[in-house]
Amino acid sequence: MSAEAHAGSHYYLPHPSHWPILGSVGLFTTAVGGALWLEDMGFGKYVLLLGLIIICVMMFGWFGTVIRESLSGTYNAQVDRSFRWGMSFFIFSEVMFFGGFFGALFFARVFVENWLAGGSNSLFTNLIIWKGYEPVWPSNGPGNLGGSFEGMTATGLAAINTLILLSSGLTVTIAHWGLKEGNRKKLCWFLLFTIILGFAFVALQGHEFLDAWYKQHLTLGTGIYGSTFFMLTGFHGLHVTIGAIMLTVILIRSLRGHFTPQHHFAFEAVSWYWHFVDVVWLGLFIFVYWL
Amino acid sequence: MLLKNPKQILCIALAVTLAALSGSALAMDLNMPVGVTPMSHDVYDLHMYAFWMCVGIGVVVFSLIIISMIWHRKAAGHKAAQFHENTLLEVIWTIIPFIILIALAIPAARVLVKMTNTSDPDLTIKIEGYQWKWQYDYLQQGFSYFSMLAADSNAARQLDSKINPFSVPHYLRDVDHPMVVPTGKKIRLLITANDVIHSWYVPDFAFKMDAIPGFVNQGWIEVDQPGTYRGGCTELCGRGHAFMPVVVVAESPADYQKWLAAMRASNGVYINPHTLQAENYGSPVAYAPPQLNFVTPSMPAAAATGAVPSTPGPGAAAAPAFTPAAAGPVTKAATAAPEKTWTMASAMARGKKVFDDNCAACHMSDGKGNAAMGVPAIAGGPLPNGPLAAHISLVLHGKGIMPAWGNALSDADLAAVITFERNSFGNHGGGLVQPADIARAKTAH
Amino acid sequence: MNTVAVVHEYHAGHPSGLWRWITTTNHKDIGTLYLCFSLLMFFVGGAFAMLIRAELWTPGMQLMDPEFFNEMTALHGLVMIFGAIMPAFVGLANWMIPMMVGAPDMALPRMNNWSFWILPFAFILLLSTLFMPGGAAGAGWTMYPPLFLQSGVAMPFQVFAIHLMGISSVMGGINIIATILNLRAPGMSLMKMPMFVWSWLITAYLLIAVMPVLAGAVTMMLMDKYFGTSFFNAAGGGDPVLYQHVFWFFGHPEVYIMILPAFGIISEIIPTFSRKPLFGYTSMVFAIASIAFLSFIVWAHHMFTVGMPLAADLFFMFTTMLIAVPTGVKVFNWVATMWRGALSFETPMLFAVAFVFLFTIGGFSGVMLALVPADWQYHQTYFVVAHFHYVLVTGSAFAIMGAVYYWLPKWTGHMYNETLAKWHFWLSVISVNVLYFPMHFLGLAGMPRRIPDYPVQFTDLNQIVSVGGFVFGASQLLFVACIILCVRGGKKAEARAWDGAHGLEWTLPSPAPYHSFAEPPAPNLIWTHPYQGS
Ligand code: HEA
Ligand code: HEA
Ligand code: HEC
Ligand code: CUA
Ligand SMILES: [Cu+2]
Repeated sequence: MSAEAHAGSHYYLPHPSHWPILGSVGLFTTAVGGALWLEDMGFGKYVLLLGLIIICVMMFGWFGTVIRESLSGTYNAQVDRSFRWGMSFFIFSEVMFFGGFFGALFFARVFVENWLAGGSNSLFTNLIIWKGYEPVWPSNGPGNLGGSFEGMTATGLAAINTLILLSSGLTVTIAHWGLKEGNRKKLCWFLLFTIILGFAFVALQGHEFLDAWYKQHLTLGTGIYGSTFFMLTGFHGLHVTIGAIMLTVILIRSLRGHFTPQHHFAFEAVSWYWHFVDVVWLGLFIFVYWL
Repeated sequence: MLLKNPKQILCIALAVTLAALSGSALAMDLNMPVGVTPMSHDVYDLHMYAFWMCVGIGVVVFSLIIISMIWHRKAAGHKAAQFHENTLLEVIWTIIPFIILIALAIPAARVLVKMTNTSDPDLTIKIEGYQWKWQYDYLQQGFSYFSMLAADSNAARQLDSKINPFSVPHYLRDVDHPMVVPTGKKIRLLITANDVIHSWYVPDFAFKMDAIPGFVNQGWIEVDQPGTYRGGCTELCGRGHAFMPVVVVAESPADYQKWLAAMRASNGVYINPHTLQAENYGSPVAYAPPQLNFVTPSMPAAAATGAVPSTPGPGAAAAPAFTPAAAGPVTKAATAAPEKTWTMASAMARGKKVFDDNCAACHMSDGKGNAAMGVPAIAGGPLPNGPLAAHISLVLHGKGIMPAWGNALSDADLAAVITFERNSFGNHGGGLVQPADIARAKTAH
Repeated sequence: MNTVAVVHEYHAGHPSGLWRWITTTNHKDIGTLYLCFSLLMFFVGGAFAMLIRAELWTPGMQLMDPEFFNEMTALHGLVMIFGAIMPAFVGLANWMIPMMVGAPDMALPRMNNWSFWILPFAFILLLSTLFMPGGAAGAGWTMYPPLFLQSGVAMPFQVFAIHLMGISSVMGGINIIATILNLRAPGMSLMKMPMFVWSWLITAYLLIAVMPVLAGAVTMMLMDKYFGTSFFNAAGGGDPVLYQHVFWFFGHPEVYIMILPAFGIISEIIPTFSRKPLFGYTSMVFAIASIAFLSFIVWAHHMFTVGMPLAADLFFMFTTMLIAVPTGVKVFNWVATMWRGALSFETPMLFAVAFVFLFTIGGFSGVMLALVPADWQYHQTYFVVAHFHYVLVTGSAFAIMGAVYYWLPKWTGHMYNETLAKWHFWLSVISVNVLYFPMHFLGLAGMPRRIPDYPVQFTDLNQIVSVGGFVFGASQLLFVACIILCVRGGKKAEARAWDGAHGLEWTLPSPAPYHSFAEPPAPNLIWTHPYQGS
């Protein structure tokens, strides 16, 4: 009753697998290492590194198995659909993760600023504790934490990054068209463009962070503005990086001729992810940089 | 087989109910107190109204289940009907609960609106929660004092105290310095906290409000009858959460005025509201000149001072900077103290007292600390045997679980306890710390 | 709850021994792992509860430092919620959903393995904090800052443990959704799915929606403590209450995550032992969906005393009360299902009937809590503790116990020992009320929760509660005995173990074959209407 036996029949069932347990060990090691490091135990960072390496090994191994199985035609349409549901709901969970941070931003900006300044039923908050504090945005709070700083603007780098990311959404779609037409050249070239745009975005974002940190004196410690700015854009940047790495894998696989015009779920999954990252950026651009 | 017979089942159910009822009859208060404020009466009525609604619904629903459990048993030969749908029924049992809920929501909303109306008070008192005591600040009268667990309860509650709590009057419900209010006056309470979230609760007032560091919540009470009303902190605030009771003494306006006059004249000593005598010792009482003009909300834009703790850098396991209270003058408990100068003997005596009251909970009265809790020993500790400035700074600003004492103790007490720490438990840090040193350390920061 | 029979089905090329359980991709193996893990955690969390009840036996501190008591309270809540109740439901989903929808296994079997095998590691992280300098974090299962920020080494470990649990739950939820949406046998339309499957479809959606939000909340806390951000610090323009909003945006749906699958289970058991189709299938589905929807807009009813503006208080009060309507629909439909059936009271049915009674009582106190002015009295007192143990213990846990008895014959191929099981039930149901009912009185009399020591006037009631707690705890040993005995042997179970049972799982032999439906079941096995006899 092995995988192959079932592949022929109606359902596909995979073999037992040792990748998940390796993944758990990796996550555990990473967590322990991270926690030790945070608690000022220096060796924690090596434990953390070890954990990350284990996770990478697991990813290579696990995805490698899946790719091999996929290439050998083991997967039927039903498996493909399961993957699609899985990916969609994974992205949904990511949306909710960002939703939490966006929620924090709105709450702080719309309500907390107002309350600290004595709004709503918080008059005495302002009279007794934060005397005379006026709501402003960007704000590092009535304690002026982190000292004076310069906020971000929607013009300049952010606008360029928006253009970059939007056009990368376009190029990945064109690549998809190429794939569906069976035009490998188009597929690979446009994938490459997408990846370049993605990494360009990350590089510019990094540049922007450095500028903010050292020139604008905007750090994680710069009150709620610094907190929300770096957490939102930071997590987003992380996602772009992961997305770009995944696109690179897809490009390599495309070069090796892995996908057919009919069967290319992996490509689609990554492009969904890419579009999701894109949409999150739009939200960031509007609510973090612009308004 | 066991208990196949529903009669048996019912008998047991009955027995259980009776047992539960008689069991609970042992205790006194089985229901919410009716209380002594207009709001507590309203809340009690609302509670009973909701309760009887639920009982009503419960009787209907549970009777139906019990009836079908008796009549429609297979063992009694009942054959199953096969119906499985009825839209009309579904609509009915959607609408009826909805109507019941509206009947509940209307009075609830009405009471709520009253409860949140804090306008036009006769008196305003600010309440600030600390780990683990309360500070009552009579804003318009210009004095404030701390209120913490009474010494007899505190002794009895220790892990190996061998004191029977039943022998302690008002065990865990008594404080050294109760809050005092006049009856028949609308009193606005402003509630905030210094370190973590606390919650100020007196059941008889039906009043519970969270004390949130950095924010000031408001509510109001109006006490009908003179008396002593007891409650406590109801938001988990760490190790001493169970040990920060609230005691409010309500007095007739005339008696209240007497207490007020005595307090004003006492120059920083707490006046017992019953005897009008000064209390010998206790947590500090300090003056703060009236600061607030309640009529004009807009204040000069005196931006928050540097007293706000700075943020720790990445990776630093430093104390979270949530102690904004230093920015408010009313919480400065130090105004009266700096003139004082300690002699070595008086500082050591006072310091021991302060240590036992405030520090021994964690550092233990023998100064050995509590390794299980991660509390280091004072005996032989690097700071009490090291440079004075670092020692003072740590006690003022705290670190992790170690509370920041800068606002919680008077400068005199801080000086005393630090002197005590440096010169006892075999420590050789030495030196006599004066209140003025503390005041300087605070401003130098 | 694994059986010899299952092992027999093993074919060459598969690992055996411990490695088999570690690498398995089989939904039954993984279901078994989940269920055993949750039973273990129930005992761990229960042991913490016993310590709590022992310390609360009489006023004064007898056994432990107050800080340790706080750690017990926090870990009891966390272990019971994330370790006992949730994994038990996921285990039941793993075992039953493929069988109920006519599939061979879950949709993503390898990921299924991973979802489970993250959990033991997460709980090692969480429970190891007990042994760290400074002990575990004693800030309640809700972990409110700034208090939680004061905990030492334990804090990052606990935060990362929560992250791992989140990853596990999200993957579990994804898998369940994919299975339900994609692996149903031909002919099983959505509105022909068994209620248990429906309840899990919606629960999985809730899981995926809110677990990431919890992860975000604890991440912000980590940043506040170690990287100087100010999410929860007023001086920097943040607010400690912001954490509470984010937490309860997760936390309230979370409590429905713990009750909706229970609703599904009860909707399976009651029709079976009433020998009558479930009443109002369609409205039951819509009721679950409405509860799930409403659960997203009621969160601040846990925060009525934080000083929200009046409008917010009113909004959250009204939406919270509204949940009583769809929940009432469910209760009424169960009553109507029993009405004029042919009832018999085997143990699963006893648990189901007790569920309907006692969950409803818990729901009533919930509605009382929703009334803001009254909540000012109830909040953070034992009245709340009574409320949530009625819905969680006599709700969720009773449903799980009922489900275990209901499906044990299918899992093991043996009938459990009915006499022993009845003893378990009766002891539990009596002691559980002795345990939790007086908590209402304690709360009304003003006893705060999360206190290790209390004023003397609460002594009598606390002793009744503690006695109930010890008896209830000891009774659970019977539960374990029943399970072990049933796995080891017993009367042979038929394919349709209960004469009133309908549904695809009962068309498979008992014990169920290793791969449930290697081929899709014939469409005529799927009822034209759920629960209606063929
Ligand atoms: C399984 C878990 C579960 C479930 C199902 C519920 C269900 C409900 N809960 Fe509960 N709740 C918790 C778990 C749960 N709760 C937990 C764990 C906490 C504490 C968390 C903490 O602080 O640690 C809590 C706390 C809590 C609070 C905060 C209390 C406080 O801290 O001050 C409130 C307030 O509104 C509340 C309300 C409700 C309501 C209205 C329901 C409703 O869903 C109930 C609906 C059901 C019925 C009403 C019964 C059946 C209906 C009928 C028979 C119809 C007719 C009825 C009427 C018209 C009234 N709950
Ligand atoms: C999710 C489910 C769940 C379950 C099943 C339980 C089960 C129990 N709970 Fe739990 N409880 C919570 C969820 C749950 N609880 C939550 C969320 C909180 C809030 C935490 C917070 O404030 O942050 C809480 C808080 C809480 C408190 C309040 C603590 C406080 O405020 O300080 C108390 C006090 O009595 C309590 C008691 C019990 C008891 C006696 C049981 C019993 O039902 C347990 C029975 C089980 C066993 C005992 C284990 C089995 C048996 C053995 C180990 C054998 C040995 C035993 C004997 C021989 C006696 N619980
Ligand atoms: C809630 C528990 C608690 C209380 C109460 C408490 N402390 Fe501490 N204290 C701590 C902890 C925990 C530390 C360790 C802080 C760290 O380094 O992380 C500490 C550290 C110290 C140190 C430094 C010890 C050393 O040499 O390293 C001194 C001095 C000190 N406390 C003095 C006091 C004084 C004075 C009081 C009372 C006025 C007090 N403490 C009350 C918990 C407490
Ligand atoms: Cu202060 Cu609890
Ligand atoms: Cu809730």
